[in-house]
Amino acid sequence: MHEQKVLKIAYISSVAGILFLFYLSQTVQLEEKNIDDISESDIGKTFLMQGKVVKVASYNNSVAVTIMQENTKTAFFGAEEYIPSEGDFIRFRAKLVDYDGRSSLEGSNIILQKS
Amino acid sequence: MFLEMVVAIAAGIILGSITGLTPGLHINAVSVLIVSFSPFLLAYFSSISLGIVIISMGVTHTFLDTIPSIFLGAPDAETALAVLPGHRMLLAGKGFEAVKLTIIGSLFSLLLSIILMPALIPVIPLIYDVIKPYIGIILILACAYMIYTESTIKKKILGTLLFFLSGILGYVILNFPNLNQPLFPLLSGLFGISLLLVSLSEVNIIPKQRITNSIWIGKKGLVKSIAASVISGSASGFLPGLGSSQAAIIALALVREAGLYTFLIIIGGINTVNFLVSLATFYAIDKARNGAIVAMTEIIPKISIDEVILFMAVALIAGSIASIITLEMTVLFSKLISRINYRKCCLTIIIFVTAGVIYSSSGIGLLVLLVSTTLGIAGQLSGVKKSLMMGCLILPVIIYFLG
Repeated sequence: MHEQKVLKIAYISSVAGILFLFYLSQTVQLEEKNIDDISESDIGKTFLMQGKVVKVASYNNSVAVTIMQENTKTAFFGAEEYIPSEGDFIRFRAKLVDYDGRSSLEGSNIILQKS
Repeated sequence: MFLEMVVAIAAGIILGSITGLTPGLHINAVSVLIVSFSPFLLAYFSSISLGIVIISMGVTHTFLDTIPSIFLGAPDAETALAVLPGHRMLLAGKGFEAVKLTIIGSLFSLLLSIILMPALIPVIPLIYDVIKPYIGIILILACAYMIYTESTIKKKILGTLLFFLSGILGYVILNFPNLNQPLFPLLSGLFGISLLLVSLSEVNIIPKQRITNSIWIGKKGLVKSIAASVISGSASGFLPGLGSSQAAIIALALVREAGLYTFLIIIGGINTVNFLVSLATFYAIDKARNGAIVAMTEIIPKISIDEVILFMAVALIAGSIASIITLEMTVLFSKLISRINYRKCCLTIIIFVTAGVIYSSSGIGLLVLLVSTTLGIAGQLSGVKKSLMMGCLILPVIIYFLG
C-alpha cells in the first residue's frame, strides 16, 4: 500500500504544482518594450507594449491591431479578445514569434489606457 | 571543392557526435552558432560546405542521441519515449541491444526515405494543404486509441488523467512568459529524473551488459516499424506543429501491438526521417520545419534539386558513419555502466540535470522540474502506458490546431 500512498501524493502534488505554475505564469512581471527596441533576438520572448490604435482589421480567427508610437507595428489578437477602436490607447502582452521564417507579434490581454 | 566537402562532412559528424552524447545540448543551438560565425566562415568555405556541416551534424545527432537517453535516463524531446523501454532493457542487461535497435530504425528509415524522396518531393505540396486541417483530429484519435487499449477501466481512467495532467502542464509551461528552454525541465522531469528516482528505490546495481552481434527481429515486425517511422516521420517533417514525439504516438497507434523491439526501432527511425524530410520540405514548399534547417536557410536561402541530391548523399554517408560511431560508443558505455555504482550514477545524473536546468531556465525551471518530476513519478507508478505523458506536447498541439 506504500506505493499507492506515494501515487496519491504524487498526483495531488502535481495538481497543486500545475495550479501554482499557472498562477505564476499569469502574474510574472514583464518588461515593457517600444516598437523600435524589438529585434529578431526577441523571438520567443513576451513583453508589454502600449500605443495608440491606428488601424483594426478583422479576419476569420484573428484581429490585426496596428499601434503607433514613433513608428507603427501590427499585432495579431485572437477573435475572442477585447477589440479596441481606432484612437484608443492600449497596453497589452506581446509575444514575438517566428511564423514561416518571418517575425510576427502575437498579442493578448488588452487593457484600455487613459489617453 | 571535393576536399572541402569531405572536411565539412567530417566536421558535421564530430559536432553531431558531441551534441548527440551531451544531454541538453541540441543541434539547433550549434546550428545557430554556425550561422552567427558564418560571415567569418564564408571567407574560407562555401555556403554549400556550411550546409553540409549542418546536414551531417543533424543526421549524426539522430543516431547518437539515444545513448544518453537509454544509459543515463537523460532524454531530449525527440528521444523521451525511448527512455522508458530503453531503461527497462538496460536493467535487464540489454542496453546495447536497445541502442542497436534504434540504430536499425535510423539506418533503415534513412535508406527508405532516400529511395522514396523522388516520389515524396512532388507529393508534399499536394498533401500539405489536405492533411493540415486534420492534424488535431489525427492526434486525438491516436491518443484515444492508446487510452482505449489499456486493459482495465481503472487504467483507462488513470491513463486519461495522466494524459490531461501532462497536457495541461505542457500547455502552461510552453506558454510561460520568457521561460528559457522550457522543454528541458519538462521532459527531464517527466521521463528522466522520475524514472531514475523510481529506479533508485527498486534497483541497486546495473547488471553486466550483453554485447551481442545479432538481434532477432521478425521480418514482418521490422517492415511494419520502418514503414510506420517513415510515414509518421515524414508527416512530422512537413506538417507544422507536428514534432517527432507526436509522430511517435501516431506511429505506435499505426503499428498497434508494438513490442519493445518495434517501439525502439520506430523511435530511432522517426527522428532521422523527420530531419531528412524537413530538408525536402524546404525545397518543395519553401518552409523549414526543423531548427537546424531553419538555421541553414540563413546561409542558403534557396536550394536547387542538385543541392537536394548532394545533401541526400551527405545524409547517407553521415548516417553510415554515425551507425558505426554509435555502435562503438555503445560498446564503451555498456562496458562502463556496469562497473559504476548505480546509485551514485543516478544521483550524479540528477544533480547534473538539475544544475543544467537552473543554468538554462533559472528558478522557474527548477520549479517546473519539480512539478514534472512529481507527475512523472505518478506516471511511473500508475501502471499505464508511460507514453501518455507525451500529452505534455500533444495536447498543446491539439489546442493549436483546433483552437
